[in-house]
Amino acid sequence: MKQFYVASALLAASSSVLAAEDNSNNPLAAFNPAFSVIFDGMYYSDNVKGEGAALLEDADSAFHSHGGHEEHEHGDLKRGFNLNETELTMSGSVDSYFDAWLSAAISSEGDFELEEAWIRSQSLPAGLQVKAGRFLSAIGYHNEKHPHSWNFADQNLAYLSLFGDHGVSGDGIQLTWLAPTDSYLQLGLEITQGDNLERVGSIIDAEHVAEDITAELGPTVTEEDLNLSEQDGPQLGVFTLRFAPDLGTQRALQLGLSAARHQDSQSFHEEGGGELFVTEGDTDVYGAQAVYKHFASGQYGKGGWSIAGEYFYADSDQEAVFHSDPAELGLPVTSEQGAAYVEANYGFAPRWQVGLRTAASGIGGEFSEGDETEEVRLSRQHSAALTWYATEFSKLRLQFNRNDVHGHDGSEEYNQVFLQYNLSLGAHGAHTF
Amino acid sequence: MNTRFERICRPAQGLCLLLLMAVATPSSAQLRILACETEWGQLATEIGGDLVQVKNASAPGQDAHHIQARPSLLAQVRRADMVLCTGAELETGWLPVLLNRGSNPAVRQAPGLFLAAEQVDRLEIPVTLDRADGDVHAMGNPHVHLDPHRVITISRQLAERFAQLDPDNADAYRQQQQAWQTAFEAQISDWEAQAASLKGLNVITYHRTWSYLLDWLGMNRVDELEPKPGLPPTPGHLATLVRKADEQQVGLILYRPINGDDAASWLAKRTAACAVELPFSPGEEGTNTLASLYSTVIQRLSTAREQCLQETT
Repeated sequence: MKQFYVASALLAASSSVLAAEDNSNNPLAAFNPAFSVIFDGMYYSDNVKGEGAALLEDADSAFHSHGGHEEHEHGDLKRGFNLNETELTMSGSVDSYFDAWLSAAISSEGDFELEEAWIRSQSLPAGLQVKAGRFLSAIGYHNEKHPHSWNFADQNLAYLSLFGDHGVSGDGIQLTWLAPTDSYLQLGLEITQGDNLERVGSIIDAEHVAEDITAELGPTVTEEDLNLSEQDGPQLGVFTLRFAPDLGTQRALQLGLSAARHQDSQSFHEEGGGELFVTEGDTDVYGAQAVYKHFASGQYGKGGWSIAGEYFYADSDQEAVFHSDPAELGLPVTSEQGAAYVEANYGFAPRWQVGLRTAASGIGGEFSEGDETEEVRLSRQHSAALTWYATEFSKLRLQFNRNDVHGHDGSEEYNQVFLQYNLSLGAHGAHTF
Repeated sequence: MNTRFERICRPAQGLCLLLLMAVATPSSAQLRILACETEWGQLATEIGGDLVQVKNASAPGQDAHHIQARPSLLAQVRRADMVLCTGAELETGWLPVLLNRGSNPAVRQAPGLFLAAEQVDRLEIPVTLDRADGDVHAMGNPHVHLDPHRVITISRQLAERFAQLDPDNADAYRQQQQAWQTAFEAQISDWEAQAASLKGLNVITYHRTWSYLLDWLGMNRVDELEPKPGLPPTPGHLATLVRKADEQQVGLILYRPINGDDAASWLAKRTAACAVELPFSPGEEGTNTLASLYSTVIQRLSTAREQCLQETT
């Protein structure tokens, strides 16, 4: 609640700043500072007793680990009315050297979470920019998009299976270089702590896991007995490359590649037969993206269309640093799997957009312990969305998902329906490509 | 590089010299300009001549409110000496992205950033700001390029800015601007004479796109087809316009090609007014230069007015 007052105070402060500004010829006066609140809510239903969202999160994966650092709450989405996160953002130029961005989310329960808080250099020469703080990683095209600019009401299954609902973000630094060429060529390097990943590259809460093992096995197992190395310093490095030829004013294509390494990923496994073990090792992620947009020739978005697709492949090589059977210490455990999505959107009438999306998780997935290899089963998600943009500040969306999910307890084919509103009050930040 | 050229060049020296000049002279010395809209790209070309190299971010006739900050524009910003836009919030949906992610400190503020509409006084500066009133720009109506007098003011500022960025050619920019202004001013009186019959005419416009043109030619806007700026026409709003058009003897309904002719034709059929499609930016059909834009607009308006009078009588 306290945080809410802080937020209101910020809102009040920023509007008075805006009011105080005259219409002088300061070029960025109107852009600075910008404050907005994004309201998002939906009516949701599925034909699996409200378990639809949880089933998707539990889809078969080589990267399931228990005792994660932030144990994820399941089934956030309930049948009926849902108030999604309310997002507060504030951004603008700090001075001629930096600009800054802050975004925070208030959950329906009133919990306040700092999602992004970064500063970015604006005065480095030679096409260089540095971002520091907490930011969304550039590992994928969709990863950098805020939920209010998504074309669908929910996270796609590909991202959900590898990066979780919120994607990859972290505390650290990002360096980008934009080449002085007619075509767009950008190289980026990110170094972050890598301590908050939900799936690939996740770490475990050693204390919590030690307690669980103690409760299960009987003799006391301490945090130290797990033999995990210290999570010290930045663990995640991401390299990105983006290229876009100049196709004129009516269309654009962007291609991208990314590679990431998480140096110290950890997992806790509970197998049938009472086997418990903790593994540690490194994880690599490779990504490829392509986005094509044909810009609207008519007004209010009519005639514009776009296709975006991304593929990721993750591979983790870990070793058992603790095992309920001491003979198995050092057991190599590897997880690998791919995930992909493709979405297409078309503005078929002024202010109306229709979108189709298909996503898959567990592509070519394998989980191996020593000589034993288990194949990960493929899960799929097909979505269709109809969005009405009342203005650029507000939209209503009706979305239908058909999911074919393979989980722990067999497979399930089911439907989800979302009726969503998404409004932005205040400054409306300019949209990235 | 040189030695290789010499080796290849020896057999046909004259030709090679020409080729070398063609390769070597442009770009390096020229001011690289990224113009948000073609009206400013055209003005920069007309003032800067061969001393500038202009790239337009949008196509002629595209809606400048809704251009995407596509990656190739970031590449243009990265190498630009000047970003030349309308400003006055017209490009708030995409220009900040270009400036913030273009990795080019030189164009984030003046002198590298030139915002044309902010060099002149603007019409329709709102007294109150409420989003419920639609897409209203706090700094007033940004579509200033349809008033040639304001364009002259802007051209002078622009030439000064060129001179500041490229001091070696400062005199050349000023001279070119002077020459351009002299020729342009001579035409303004012609256009004003041609448009004399339009003075006092009541019109309905699709969007507030034409305010400066109407202000210049002494025409009156009665209402817009859009119920609120940025919202498409609704049947209810159009119905009220039928009455309004007759009451206030509206002569013409003005729209741009991107607006589509549905709403304008619908209203024209039900009133004594006639719909007329007008080019908005240089580069649209029949309008290669700023001067031809004004003459085309005035010619279409006058023709439409005459035909309309004949039809109704």
